[in-house]
Amino acid sequence: MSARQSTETNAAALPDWLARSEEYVPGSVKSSGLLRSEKTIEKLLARLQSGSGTSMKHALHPVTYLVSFVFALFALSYTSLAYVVWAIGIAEAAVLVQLDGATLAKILKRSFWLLLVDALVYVPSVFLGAFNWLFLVKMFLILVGSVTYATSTSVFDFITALKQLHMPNFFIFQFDVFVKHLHVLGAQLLQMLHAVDCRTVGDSRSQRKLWSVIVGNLYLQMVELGKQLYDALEARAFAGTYTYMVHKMKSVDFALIAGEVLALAGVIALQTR
Amino acid sequence: MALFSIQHLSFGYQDKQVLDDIGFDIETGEFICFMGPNGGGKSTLLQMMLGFLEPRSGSIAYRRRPVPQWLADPKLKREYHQQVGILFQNVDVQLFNSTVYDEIAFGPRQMGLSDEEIDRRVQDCLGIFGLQGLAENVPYHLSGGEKREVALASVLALNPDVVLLDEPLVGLTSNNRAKLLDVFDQLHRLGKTIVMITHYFDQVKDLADAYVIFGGGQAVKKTRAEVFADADLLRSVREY
Repeated sequence: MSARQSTETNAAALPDWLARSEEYVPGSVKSSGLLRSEKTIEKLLARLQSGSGTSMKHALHPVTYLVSFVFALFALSYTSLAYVVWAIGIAEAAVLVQLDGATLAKILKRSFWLLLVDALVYVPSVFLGAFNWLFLVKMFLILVGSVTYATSTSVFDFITALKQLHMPNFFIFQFDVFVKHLHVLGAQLLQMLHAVDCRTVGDSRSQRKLWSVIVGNLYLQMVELGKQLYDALEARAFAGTYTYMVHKMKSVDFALIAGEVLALAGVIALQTR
Repeated sequence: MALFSIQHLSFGYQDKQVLDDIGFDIETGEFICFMGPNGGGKSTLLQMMLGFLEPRSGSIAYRRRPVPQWLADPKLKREYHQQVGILFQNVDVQLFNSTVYDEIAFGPRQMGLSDEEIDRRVQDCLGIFGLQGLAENVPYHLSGGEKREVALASVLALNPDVVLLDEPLVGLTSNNRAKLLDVFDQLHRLGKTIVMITHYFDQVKDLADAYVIFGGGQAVKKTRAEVFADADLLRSVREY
């Protein structure tokens, strides 16, 4: 180091080794799980951020989507009539064909893997002579319906639907804040992993030890963020009531829900006859 | 020889096109400032230079090798990260060790340097900013200005050839800003390549060799002389 020292406005003179070009050749390297996690977090964040990319996104009100989804699940779980199951299957297919190719492929891929796991669990009952093909079809339709809803509906749309279905303020507020926190912390975590990645110039096996430090830092930031959020709410006269803008439902939404209520009543009547 | 070569680069977030067919070179030893309005694509380009984002089309090459190729091979990737340092805008994400000493020593330890060399580098880097008294402190508990100095020290400890700086002057006192700019100026004089995103034109106007002006999906490189010769451009960069 030169004699020049750091002051309030000036840095000390830079050391000589910074003037030399670094002749660094990394040794053998193995990638660690820590750095592979970046891609996974990126995907999750993109999911939270974007939500739906489907052609149906704005065709109906979020409440209509949620109610239709819940009714379909209920009807599938309740009925043991094959023609009702097929009718719901046709309705689900009608929804699917309106989606773009990429979304459709994503839904079918996810549903297939979930169904595979369920089918494996179901295998023992086949050997015990209790096989029921309708059960598997119902399972498949429930999975496709759930994955379709999750894939084609954004978190924002889901919260909007909950609000207008008069879910308690407290629940919606907690859920809304949780999702926002999740996104902010996910972004923080991703940036931390990027920062680690940028300075991982050697054997990354030592990075495994960093997980605990990263999670600790993230926790500290989460606590601070929570306090800041509550202070900000109080500063804006928050007194526990979570008010929100109401999005109007169109007549087509009401008509569809009314039709679904009638159909569900029909399913119940047929089943109990 | 161009250190970074950016050619026909385009990028967008969902429906929004942020960068549209941009291209310029960054020369070895150049001090270059990215300027432009918020959302103009400055940070986006920096992230693509580090491989965190993938362009829709076009390419970024470092030392004539495309950045994705540097990052695809584990050995080359580590070489790239040693040569190209980054100071993030949010330094909280960059500090992940238990003490300031360990934070600065993290990179040199990764490089497998000897204990003496690691200690020398850490002490030198602490000395640059006068942080010797904070060596045993927890980085998370430092002030904003100190955190940024520690983060920069931890980058310098790797002795990179290029230093990328994402708005390093934001939120600092004028004294802290002056000290950081002094470090950047010294690094530049040592032959390091400096790429800095900033909105403080008046503070960097005597340091930067060139500017890249972002806006409307475009990014145009201008030398310092060209910026000062164009009154309209000079006025607009002062307003960013």
